[in-house]
Amino acid sequence: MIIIPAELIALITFPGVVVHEIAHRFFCDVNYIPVYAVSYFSPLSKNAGCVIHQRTDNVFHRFLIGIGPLIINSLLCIMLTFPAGMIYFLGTDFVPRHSMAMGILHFLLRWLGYTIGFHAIPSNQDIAGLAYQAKSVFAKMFLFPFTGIIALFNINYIGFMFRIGYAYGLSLFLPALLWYFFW
Amino acid sequence: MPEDELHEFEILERHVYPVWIHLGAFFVFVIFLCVAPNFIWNELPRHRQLSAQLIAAERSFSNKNYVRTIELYDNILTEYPTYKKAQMRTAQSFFALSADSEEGVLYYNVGFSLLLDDNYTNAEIATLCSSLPAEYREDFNSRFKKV
Repeated sequence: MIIIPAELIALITFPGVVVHEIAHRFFCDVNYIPVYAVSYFSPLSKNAGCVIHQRTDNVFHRFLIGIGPLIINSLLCIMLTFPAGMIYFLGTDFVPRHSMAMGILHFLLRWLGYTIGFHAIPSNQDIAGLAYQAKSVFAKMFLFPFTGIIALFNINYIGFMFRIGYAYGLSLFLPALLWYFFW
Repeated sequence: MPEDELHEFEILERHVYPVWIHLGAFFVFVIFLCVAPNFIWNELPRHRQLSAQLIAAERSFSNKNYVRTIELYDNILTEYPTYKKAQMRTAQSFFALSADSEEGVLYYNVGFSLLLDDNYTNAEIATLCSSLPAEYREDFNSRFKKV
């Protein structure tokens, strides 16, 4: 098993880290929660990025801020990887590009899409203690398994594979929908 | 982080992002704009048509309609001569036709000639071999090693 350092992964997939932090920040702004400091990307640092915001007791706001990347990164990943996903889904990825410039642009878009999708999963820290903070039983019933699944995605090696699988799955989501409902 | 420590940070203004974030977003938007519309309006119809051809060809192959398979894959190979799977399926179809045919050797040779331009893995060679009538296997293995 090859262990790739997290810092190196973050460096290769830095657009995803930046969008991850923007998503947290965006949901802070939406919920009128003051943001004190934002580090969009710190290369080769153990903590690639962070958003420091005012503490809130509103579980729903905390939940939204926590899962912000899951929404924003996932949507962006679906959008940006659509051409790549569609070609793969149709089984025509052998078709060569007409020009080198288009090939490079396609590659860049694919890289951006997959790296953004890779960082869609919130970290354990993003949703820490959320289930305990929830007051209603229904919220707890939802949040406990949800945080469990997120924790699974954050286990070192398995999480890495899950994240790749998640980004890959997202890229095929829209092509699959189009295929089954419209074509 | 305790509340009093948090106040040591300068409070950022709402929705104000650094310039490089704006530039990055603009850069991504431009790339997306260059690729996506061109893909949807120009490339996608061609990909869909090709995909339908591939499905039809693969279905013919599964139904053992080898003449039709050759026809369909030949159309694809005319446009994309280096597409490995099409080369393999066409060759497999020729190999299958070579069984119980008076012109078996001819079919076998035509099928084999399609495989000379590429490198094949052991699994792919095994797949090709599976379509071959027994009488040609030895010849296939000896000639393929030389390639």
